[in-house]
Amino acid sequence: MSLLEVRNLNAGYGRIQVLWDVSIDVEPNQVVALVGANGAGKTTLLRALTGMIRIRSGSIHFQGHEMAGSAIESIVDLGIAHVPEGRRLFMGLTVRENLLLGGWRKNNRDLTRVIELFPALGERLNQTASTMSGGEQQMCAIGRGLMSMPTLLLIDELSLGLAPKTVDEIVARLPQIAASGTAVLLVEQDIDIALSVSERAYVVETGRITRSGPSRELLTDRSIQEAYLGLSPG
Amino acid sequence: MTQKPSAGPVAEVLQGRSRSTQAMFGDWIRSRTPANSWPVVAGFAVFAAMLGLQQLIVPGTQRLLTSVFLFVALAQAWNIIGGYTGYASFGQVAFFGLGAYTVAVLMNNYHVSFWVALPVAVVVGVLFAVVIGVPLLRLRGHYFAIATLGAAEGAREVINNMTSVTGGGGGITIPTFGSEAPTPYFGKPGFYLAFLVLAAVSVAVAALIARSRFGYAMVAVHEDEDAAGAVGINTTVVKVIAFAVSAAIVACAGAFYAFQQIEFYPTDVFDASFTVLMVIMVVIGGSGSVVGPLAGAVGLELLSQFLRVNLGSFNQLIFGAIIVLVVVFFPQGVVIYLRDAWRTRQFSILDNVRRYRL
Repeated sequence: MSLLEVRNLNAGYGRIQVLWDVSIDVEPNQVVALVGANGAGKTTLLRALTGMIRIRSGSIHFQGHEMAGSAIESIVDLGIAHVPEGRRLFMGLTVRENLLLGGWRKNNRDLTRVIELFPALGERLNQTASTMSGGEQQMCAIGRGLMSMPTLLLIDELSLGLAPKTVDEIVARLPQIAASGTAVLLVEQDIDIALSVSERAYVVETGRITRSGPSRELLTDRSIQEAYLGLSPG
Repeated sequence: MTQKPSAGPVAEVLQGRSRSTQAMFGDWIRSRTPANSWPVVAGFAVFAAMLGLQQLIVPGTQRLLTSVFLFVALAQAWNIIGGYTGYASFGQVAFFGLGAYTVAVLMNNYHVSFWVALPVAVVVGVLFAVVIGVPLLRLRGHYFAIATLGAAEGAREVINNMTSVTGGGGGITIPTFGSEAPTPYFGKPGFYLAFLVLAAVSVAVAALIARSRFGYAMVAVHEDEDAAGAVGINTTVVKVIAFAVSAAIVACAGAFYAFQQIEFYPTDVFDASFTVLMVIMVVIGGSGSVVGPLAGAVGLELLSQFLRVNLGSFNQLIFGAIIVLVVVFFPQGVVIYLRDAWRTRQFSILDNVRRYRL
């Protein structure tokens, strides 16, 4: 049984339908990428998964439970953590306070796992979040997500506004996170990075899943290279 | 879940304590030790000193300190919703007026003891907070401020027009002498004690809430409400509870105030300047801390009384000018400025002004 099983999901805003018959699967302890251009519907899919927008039809099963219509708080209880686009840290608070708030719902105050994963955060626990670099903020946001001890971590636009070297550093931790019991669904515009780190991937175009399969195959696929990686045909 | 013992560099990092964390959320993170319980000790010391002081001072000073205690309670209450939670209510006086009128109506019309009327007043305040809080706390920023201002004006008009029960604009009188009195009048020493206890309880409640897991949630709502929701905090519940706790303290203060005044009018206990003073005291002292509103209330109330006695008709003008200057030079609040300056050893006021201009 898949950890997350989305079947024929239709969702949107008001009269505008954004997602059309989207079906994806995330297996336990796996990094799965959801890639596509700006406006393809990636963030909308995450919003539907976390209960921030209502779905029109289709089903979302998490560990076998139907999730559609659950309140945002109860989604954290089920074991899903959301690292939002733009990180959305509590900017006036310290790293420690941000992480503790991540564990608020589960009353988890054990920072060990996060600090072992991102030692840089351990050195900055008492620093105010707003004074850190973008990369450190992203680490903090991922750490905050992990504090709720999720079995699935949703990361929206990890690379947004970060230097390539920083992105590589953070992305390199994702397989480790997955191996330790938290599957990762990475939503990314930077297809090269997303396909390199993930085991499986889905390509979203105008609200539909157009391609899916093992990331390695997609990475070498000629049509994807031409459409997204800027390699000229020939 | 309990803290697991961990070894090596990680454990060292975990033991390194943040002062701001301690100040803000201490108890959710660490257990209380003798070394970090000095604020509690200091609090009890001040309380005991105020008790002892009562024997030494003249009635005039007693009256002055009584009003200082009242404003300490009101400022702490406003700080819970306006400071920690970040919802600047301009209608807290509604709870003050409701508390006052609940006590007056029960004592005057039904000859109920003050000690029975007091908890009823608190319940009325909390109920009103929940009823207006659920819809109004969906609004943010200016909209919330305006809506609460309107709610307070509305509450005053309702009391004003319920003439058969409240006496309307003609005011209401609590019977305090002879066989008419449901509870004997406390007198100046009695009210000094009552307001001292009220202030102490308010400070204690604010300090306990601020250091609790719930306090964490309030600050998260203040920082970023959507992100707070995303980490699993039910923001509606947090906001309504914070608003209700604040209302409970304010209604309690209103109840004591009513009994102390004996006779009053809707315009007295629904006077918007109570709300304005609460806001100014918290902002000038330093919002989102326990010491800030305490210092703001004590400082401003003493200053305002001093100016009234010594400057005659110009006192309000000078008082206003001082408030403007303090806000310009210490936008984050005097207590927060002193704390940060002490920590970083940077005492330049000009630098401080520049820092908060950006």
